[in-house]
Amino acid sequence: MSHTLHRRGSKESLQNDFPLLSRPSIGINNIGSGDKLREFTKIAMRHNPTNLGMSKKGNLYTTTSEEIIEALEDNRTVNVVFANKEDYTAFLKELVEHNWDLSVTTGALRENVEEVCAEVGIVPHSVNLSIGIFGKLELLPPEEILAFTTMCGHHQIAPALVEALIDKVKKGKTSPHDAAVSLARHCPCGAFNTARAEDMFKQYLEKME
Amino acid sequence: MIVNEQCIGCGSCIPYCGMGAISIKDKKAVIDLDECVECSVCRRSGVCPKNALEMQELDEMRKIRHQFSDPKATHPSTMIKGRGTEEIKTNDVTNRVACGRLGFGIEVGRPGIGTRFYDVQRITKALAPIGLDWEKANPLTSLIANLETGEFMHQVLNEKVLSCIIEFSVPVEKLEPIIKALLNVQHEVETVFSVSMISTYDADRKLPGLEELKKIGITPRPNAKTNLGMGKPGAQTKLH
Repeated sequence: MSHTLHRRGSKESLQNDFPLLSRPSIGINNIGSGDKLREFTKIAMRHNPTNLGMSKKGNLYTTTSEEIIEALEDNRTVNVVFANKEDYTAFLKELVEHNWDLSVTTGALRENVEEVCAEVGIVPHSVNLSIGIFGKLELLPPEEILAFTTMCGHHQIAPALVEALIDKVKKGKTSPHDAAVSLARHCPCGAFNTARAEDMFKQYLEKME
Repeated sequence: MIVNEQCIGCGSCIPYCGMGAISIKDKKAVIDLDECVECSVCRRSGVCPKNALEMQELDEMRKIRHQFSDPKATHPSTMIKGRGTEEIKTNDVTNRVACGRLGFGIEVGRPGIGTRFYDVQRITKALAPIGLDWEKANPLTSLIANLETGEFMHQVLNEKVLSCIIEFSVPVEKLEPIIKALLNVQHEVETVFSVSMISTYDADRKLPGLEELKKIGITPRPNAKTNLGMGKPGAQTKLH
């Protein structure tokens, strides 16, 4: 699925959101792809990811990168999220240096992707555009809650949990960091941007000052 | 998902359920199985102090709920977890959406509302007359009994899932009728749907369909999912 597409929030709040994933295609290049996915993960870990994971094993907040690497096998998807353009650029640069040959997609702002790709010598192939939410929109939680919940594209994070954590942060019962980590734990694929969530929780405290 | 006799009725699990399926009755948690999509979020959260949340044995219909709602489950028809489709993730090696065509992914129930298949059917029936190339390597397509009409297998219609993706490709010329059909059918469904459109760069580094989309009043969000074209040496040369 397009689980790193449809992330909500302002353009400004997405400036530091750089999710990527790599996976093989079944019947084309899945045999032997486990080794490549392990290498992808090792390279990613050298560039300060804010999250990384795979659905079968979990993410950096529920297990270790070593265990994720060990669990990777053919026909898996590995996800990684960087929280700044510098780390994202350095990671892609290293993939290019490795003459990477497994599909990679990235869910960041298009203008950032185009800029970084031009810098490191990548020519993007195709784009999946998010063209909106339709239907009974009155069922949706407020946009500020969607900015959190849509970072898990499989929607394993309930709006009520986000609201409860916002309340706890405001009352000083938990820190923005711990609140972000507790949400990240529910996104098994590791697509949740923990650093961005922490920033968004901090903004609630700043508004109170 | 069921609650066993260990439950102390503390209610800690309630905010973890995105479907609002858990409530307290007679000082015990109760799960409304008609609303539960078998996503396992409540159990996996580890929030229950008594380990009272259990996955029951799933019959065929509840397995469908589980496969479309729990990213740890694998779809048997595609052997892929999550919503069960490769879509743009491997487009550079599969040529699933070739240059000059548009790929659509209409994820019904997303973000986080959930859907019954009868609502999904309302959308597929609105789209099918346009003439679509349905994506076969997508678990939802295997539930559509008649691809000409968009009608689903009758027995699944009332089943609820967290979300599922209607996936097909069309030539660029069919963009406008598809958007019109979606704008109309959105008033008939009891849920929401998130729409995505895949386009492959042409030789001039333009995305076919993007200008046409803007002309009919739709501006895509600034964040998108970009396939970086790193999958296979020579793939881009072949496609462009």
